[in-house]
Amino acid sequence: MILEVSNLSITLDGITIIEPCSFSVSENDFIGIIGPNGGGKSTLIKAFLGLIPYSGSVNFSIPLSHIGYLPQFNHSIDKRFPITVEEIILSGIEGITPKLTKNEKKNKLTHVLSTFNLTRLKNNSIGTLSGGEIQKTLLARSIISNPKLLILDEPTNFIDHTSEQELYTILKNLNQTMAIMMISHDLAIIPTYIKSILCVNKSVHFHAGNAITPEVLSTYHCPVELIAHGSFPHRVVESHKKES
Amino acid sequence: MLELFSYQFMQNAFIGSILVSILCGIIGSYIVVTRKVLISGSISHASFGGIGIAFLLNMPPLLCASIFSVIVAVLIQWMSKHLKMREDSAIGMIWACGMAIGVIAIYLAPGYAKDLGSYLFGNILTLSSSDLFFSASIMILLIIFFTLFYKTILYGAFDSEYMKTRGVSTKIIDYLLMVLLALTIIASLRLIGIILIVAMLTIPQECASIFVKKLKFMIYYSIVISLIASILGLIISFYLNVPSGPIIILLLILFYSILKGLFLLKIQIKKRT
Repeated sequence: MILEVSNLSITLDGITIIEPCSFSVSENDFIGIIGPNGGGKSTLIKAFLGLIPYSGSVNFSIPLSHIGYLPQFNHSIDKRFPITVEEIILSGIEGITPKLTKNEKKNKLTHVLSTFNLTRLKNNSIGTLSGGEIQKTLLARSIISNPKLLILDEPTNFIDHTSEQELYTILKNLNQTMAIMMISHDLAIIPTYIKSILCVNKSVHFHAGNAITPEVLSTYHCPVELIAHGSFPHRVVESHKKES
Repeated sequence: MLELFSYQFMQNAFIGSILVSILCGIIGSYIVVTRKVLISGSISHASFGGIGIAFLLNMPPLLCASIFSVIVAVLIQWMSKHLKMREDSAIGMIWACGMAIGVIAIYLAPGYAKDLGSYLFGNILTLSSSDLFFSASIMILLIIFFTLFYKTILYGAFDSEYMKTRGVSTKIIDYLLMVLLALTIIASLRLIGIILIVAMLTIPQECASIFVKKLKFMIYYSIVISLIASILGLIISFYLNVPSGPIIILLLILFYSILKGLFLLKIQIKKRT
């Protein structure tokens, strides 16, 4: 067991964001976290990463430095900050003990740069990157430490369709050596890759399977109509089915 | 020109400008990238409270201002994190409060407040050996601190929340940086003055940011730009017999305008070709 969450609840400024919930994450799990916008998915993740106060207990069997984390990409990232792709990625190995040698760092960096096709951008500053390139850089940062648990908050944001498929393939390979928890709205695609589902809409329900049907979602208080894909809700599953 | 160096006060002023350029180049880069320019303005203006108290109680002004500024710096950092208040509101309150304390203290102080103008606008004539020793000590402290914690400072400034998830807390580093900022401001008061110091912490860094990709190069280039402006500014202020601070600031603004203009011109040429 990597993570054991017992009776966790989150209340911010007197408002209940997440009702008491319990679940666990084991080695090689690949959990898709789904739910409507504002349902508390990102808040839940931030709580067990220690970024937001919560009630209940969260127990990791691994140190924090063995967790890879990709925050939700938003425009609060300062594109004028004087930092290069290489520096951003290397920040992902901070906190690791014992400290890596220069050669080990170099090898890991070379590996993740090529995994995400970022080698040519290594010395570029963040200000020169597109949204997709920044997202790939942050993804590379989240896996450079070879984490035991990888937590991703909407990893395919700003990434084009081809790179999205590549990313899911990379994640599938990584899942052989690490557990993955991934927030996503891509209900038509993720069932191919994930092994179980966490439905989050104030209440949290664990579903031990990867079949995302309207019936399943309805049972877990995440009706399909509520799972927004953009600025307003629409029937994600149905529309994807039609497209394919 | 060489006659300048025959005067003790000019020798002190030149050494002082080297020290202030290094100090402001280092801490100013951190201030600019973390968007804490207003905080530095608040600390420098609030330090007037310390100077006022020093006049009132007949204490050494720099010592009193140092203690006052460090308290103010820590208070701003604490207020914005713990009182759930907007950071710019906290900055505004402290800014005005420090100035108000200073004005009342000076009003109540017996006799004429000698040298007050030099604290507000800087005066090269007032730089003493003990001022230089104080600045040099803060500079050594700052260099050691940045050398030891450069990566934590860089990564924390870029994404402190992410660093927390790596088990690396930047909280203590942030507080210490605020203390070093306060001490840097005090160390630069004699040369630049309370009103204008914020420019030394901002303009050289903005000049550097036009052509750098890394924080460490922003620091190096800011130091060089500050040095050129300070030394040129001192020479001009000597011959024109005007305060050094405003001349240095105007030179920095001129440098920024030229560099930004050249940069925009380069972009236009690139677009056309």
